Amino acid sequence: MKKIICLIIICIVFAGNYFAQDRSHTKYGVVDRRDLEMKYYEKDSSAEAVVLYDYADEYFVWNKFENAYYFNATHHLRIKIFKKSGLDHANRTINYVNGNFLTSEQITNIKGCTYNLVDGKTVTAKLEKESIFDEQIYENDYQKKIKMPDVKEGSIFELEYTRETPFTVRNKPYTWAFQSDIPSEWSEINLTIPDFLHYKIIMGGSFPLAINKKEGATINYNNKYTAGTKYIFAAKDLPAFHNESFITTKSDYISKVVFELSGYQFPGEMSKNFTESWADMNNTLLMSVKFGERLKESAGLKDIVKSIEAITDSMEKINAAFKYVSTTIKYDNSSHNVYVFQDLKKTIENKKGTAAEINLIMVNLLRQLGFDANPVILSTRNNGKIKEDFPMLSDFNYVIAEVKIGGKEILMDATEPYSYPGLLPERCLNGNGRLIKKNDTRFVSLAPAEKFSKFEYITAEVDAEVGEIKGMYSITSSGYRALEKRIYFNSMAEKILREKLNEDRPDWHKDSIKIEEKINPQVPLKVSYGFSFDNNNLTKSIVYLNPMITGKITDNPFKAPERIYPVDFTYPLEEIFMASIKLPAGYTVDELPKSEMITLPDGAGRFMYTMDVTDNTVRVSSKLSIYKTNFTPAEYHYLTEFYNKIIQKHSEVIVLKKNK
Amino acid sequence: MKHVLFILFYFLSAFIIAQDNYNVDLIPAKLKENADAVIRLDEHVFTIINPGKAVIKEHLSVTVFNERGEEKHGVYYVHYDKFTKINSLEGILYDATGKVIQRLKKSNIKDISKGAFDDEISDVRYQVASFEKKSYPYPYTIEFIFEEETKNMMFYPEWEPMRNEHTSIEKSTFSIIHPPSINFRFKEINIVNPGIIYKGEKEIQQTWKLENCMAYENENYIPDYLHPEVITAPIEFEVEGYKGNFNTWSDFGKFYFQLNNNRGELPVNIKTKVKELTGGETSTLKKIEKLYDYLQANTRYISIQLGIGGWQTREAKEVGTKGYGDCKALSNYMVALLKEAGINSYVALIHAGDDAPEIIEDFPHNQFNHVIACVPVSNDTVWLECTSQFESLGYQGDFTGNRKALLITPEGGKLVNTSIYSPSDNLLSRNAKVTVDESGNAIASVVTDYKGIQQKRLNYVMHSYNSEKQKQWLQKSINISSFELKSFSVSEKKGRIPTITEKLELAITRKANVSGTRLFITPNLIPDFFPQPVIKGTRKSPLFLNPNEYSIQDIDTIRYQLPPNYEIESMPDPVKIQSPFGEYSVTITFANNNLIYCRNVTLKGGTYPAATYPDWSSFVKKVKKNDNLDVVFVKKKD
Repeated sequence: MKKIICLIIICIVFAGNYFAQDRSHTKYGVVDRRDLEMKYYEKDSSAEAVVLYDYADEYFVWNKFENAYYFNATHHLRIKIFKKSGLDHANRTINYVNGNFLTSEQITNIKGCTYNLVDGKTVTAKLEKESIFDEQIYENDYQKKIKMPDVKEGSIFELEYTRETPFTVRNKPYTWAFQSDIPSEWSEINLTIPDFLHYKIIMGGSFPLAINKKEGATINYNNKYTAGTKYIFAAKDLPAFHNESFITTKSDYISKVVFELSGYQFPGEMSKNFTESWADMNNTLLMSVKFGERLKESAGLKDIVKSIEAITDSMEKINAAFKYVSTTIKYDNSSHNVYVFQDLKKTIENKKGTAAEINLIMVNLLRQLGFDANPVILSTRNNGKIKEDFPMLSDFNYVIAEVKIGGKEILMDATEPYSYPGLLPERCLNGNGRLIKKNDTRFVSLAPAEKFSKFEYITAEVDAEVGEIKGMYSITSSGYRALEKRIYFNSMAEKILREKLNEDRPDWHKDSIKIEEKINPQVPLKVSYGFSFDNNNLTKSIVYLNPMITGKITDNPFKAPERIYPVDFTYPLEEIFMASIKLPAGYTVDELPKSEMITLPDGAGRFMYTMDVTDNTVRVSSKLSIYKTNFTPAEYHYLTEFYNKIIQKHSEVIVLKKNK
Repeated sequence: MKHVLFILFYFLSAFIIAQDNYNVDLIPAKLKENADAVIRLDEHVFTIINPGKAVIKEHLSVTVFNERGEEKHGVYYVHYDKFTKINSLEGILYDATGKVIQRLKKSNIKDISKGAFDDEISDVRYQVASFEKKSYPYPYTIEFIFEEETKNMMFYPEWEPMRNEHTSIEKSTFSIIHPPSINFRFKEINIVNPGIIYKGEKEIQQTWKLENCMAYENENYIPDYLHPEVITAPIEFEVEGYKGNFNTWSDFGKFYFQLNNNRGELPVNIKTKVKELTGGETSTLKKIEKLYDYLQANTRYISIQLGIGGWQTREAKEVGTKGYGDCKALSNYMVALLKEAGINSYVALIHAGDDAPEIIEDFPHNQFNHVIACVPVSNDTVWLECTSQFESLGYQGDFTGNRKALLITPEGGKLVNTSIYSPSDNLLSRNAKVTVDESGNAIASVVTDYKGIQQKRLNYVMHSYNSEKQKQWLQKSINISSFELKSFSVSEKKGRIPTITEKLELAITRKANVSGTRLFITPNLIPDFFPQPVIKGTRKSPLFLNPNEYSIQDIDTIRYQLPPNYEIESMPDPVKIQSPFGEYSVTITFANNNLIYCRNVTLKGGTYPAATYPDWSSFVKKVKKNDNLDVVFVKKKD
């Protein structure tokens, strides 16, 4: 009996080890031989490297010499390299801040080792000082660049260091990402904080945690012990993250944990709350010298207020104010913040400002014109989604303006002179923003109010004798397409723009190109010209003519058989092509593409193709509309199929036969 | 005492800055044509104090007319390292009338390390000056005045006044001031007015000048050296106690050799390893192969630009123990490994990259940015790229092939040719079987061999992506409108010209368009050709088809099996196009329900006269047109 139990135990131990190692107890310097022998990563056999262990133990410390609070974090990272392309993972960079007293972080106790199997023996190469390069990047931003030694295919290296961060540099732990561009077997953060510091802890990503727990702890604070909490978060066997098209930003998708200080109550002191609720955040912002106080500024706007006041129509007033701000103050996109760090008067003088500065000026101007205008804070698409259940000011990085007129609410972003009130630039289209307004703070939808719209129109005739098609072509853009094109068109000299437009279809001979409404954002933008192009096929006894002279979709953007993340179109889409083509005399239509309508489920999109011949003239129209902007991975295959059918329809030809 | 006076003289001259009038109205009208900016004054003065020291002065005033001009000229970069000392950097901004609006403040200058954005280890830093905190109404004028001292006298300046397109020039000058005892060398390229010499008692000045140059716009497909340029170089110099001269390529090589000599000592364990690896081999080539494999398996590339202009290598010992190094250090290490095995080899300096300018042979000076190793083997030469862990032994491709390199021998430098590649070395040959069904859908097995430069992209994908990402990449890059990738494999055959074989199984949605009783097939299965060159006005510059991109050959053989009961209604005629740039031919045959499509295109890279540009355009047009022609089948009437 004993023997059997023994055997079972051995079996269990063996099986456990065989199938998966327990990474959670990885110790520096102790490397399992099987890891060194590992030739590839089982769960992703073509991975170039894998994180075997990524661990941080972060704890609150009171430094009695400096009488300052610190977060100290001990890091331990272990990576296995499988392929030569993965060698770069052995170049590690640690960013840190190095300023004056209490504005400096310390990176200490750096040690590292590389392990290789050489002739069956483990050979260890130590990280030496000469392989650690310290570099001042810019002002207080420093980097330690660490080049792990003797790294090759099959190597395992590990790196340990401690980061000491004063509270004055950062009042919260750094965001911990469980996932990176290589797979990870074990990623863990332990966090010990005193209970008088209140943090919000927010999880991101879709993978479940292997460990998610907290336990009581005691912490030395000011030579006394105080109650604290230790949090343990760990994730196991996470796949590598790969970027795809039609997504917002990586940080919306990877697994991570984010910390935000919401308040504190140091022993014997008054408690302080930061952004505990949306109402608190609203108050914090409205009271701030860097936000709400700036809304009381009126300097620098007197003259323009006077000139706009002369306009009677309210909407026209708003448009005029928008045009003034968006065209006189240049957008400085080098930093994103909801706060402003100078008087707005200064911004007006400089004629250059951040989104927050420009749109707070927009709000001030509208208010002086008598409108009910308020700022809206948001997170740009690159900055990731906000969490509506967790008010976190640090999630927000951008400000736009809102105005109420006749019960209607209009959003605008005066950083973009080719947009207009109601049309937010693409970077703003990210879920909901938060209206910052006394007694009326709430979410406002940032959903696009306009489509990305293109309308192409052709009248043409086929000259079978010369083998030529000639006619008139026009393309009209509105909504987001007009915005995109105006930004592009106005980024170059007119002469170069014309050359670029001429290059568009190099096989066409074009008459003088006409560009209409290059500047005014409120009306459609139109480019038109006369054209002709050769088609030798035309002179034959059978003529094949594709009526989709332009606007043909030839490539399916959704070729991949599966999709992991949702598809984000950003805005609704509309592409229309219409043509009226006069056929050559002496030919009879032998075959004609059929009219057809294709729809996406739940009215999410529609494609309509109509074809008709009367009086020897073909009239074709193709209209593609996608109304819905977000598709789940489960709906993905509908898109693939939808586009396949469009491509098929767009490739169909008219067959003409010469009369005998 | 003499010396002090001498220095004083220079300090005084630094203060004598002519107060120019920067009123925009003073710019001649023709200089405003097609210009985003006008360079009012661009003055470079290089003053040689002694063989080991010089002072560099720059004075730049630019009027910008719009955002593009501001983007190009609004930011002034100065780089410095431990050999240079910035004495001053000043700036002034003037409005359109020439009135001073703003002076450059300390806070307008950012100090940034060169390695800020990547893994590079470097002691080079930048000072970046701009007025960009504010926006100013156009046009306005910015002026920067800069002075630094340099002790790195290996490199003398170059003057390329017309390097910016869409920018006209009112006045640009370039002067070298030197004591009579220290002369310098120079080369003028496309210079109409040669430099003028002013002889003083204590110094000689030579000045080049360019005035009233209109803005130009670059054409496509252009060779290098189209604009005026003056290149200068030392006759004798000193840097960190090393003396040298670059008067001949031999001298150039000698200096490099001297700087890097005796840095090849290997650690004992590596010496043993070399013996172990090569002891059993008799053939030199096999030994080289073993050692190159060893290098590739045990080192990685890291950019380390420290010390003398980044010119002195880290020792072989260090590379051996740390397992990393930059191009100099890895090449030096490779040469040391070979030496240990009794094989003589050299490092060679080269300008790497697929668009590297041609080496100016008759004017020895530094034109290099990379180091490789070179092993002469009886009648052969084996070039080794030591920074790559993947490259085939001896293959240079578009990175270092088709050009000159400077071989560093103990006797001095020698300019030699690297491997030259012909179009057939860069062959893509594709064989496919495609079975088309009644609905037009098709199953295709495609086997493609990519050689030379044509395997480059796929080589990277194969080595650097995991299979999921490889699949994603193929899905995106295969130019077929809609298909499913059923399975794929990529394999590499290393060699002096490496080959990658790609096998694809595809299910193509509607390869053939079915339209009533007809079936349309574009037999060119995966079309891929160069974009159509646009003709704008009369071509001025010669046409340059970079051999590193254009010397290629494609052979496609595609067999289609059609559904039964179809016959040909129309089929493109066979084509054969010949041109100076290359040849193109297509033949299509149909028998027993099988369509066989053969396409052969060869292009020859090189420089062609400007007048041939329309021919090039029309050649591409014809190819593209023929590539897209359809075969039309119609259902047989029983």
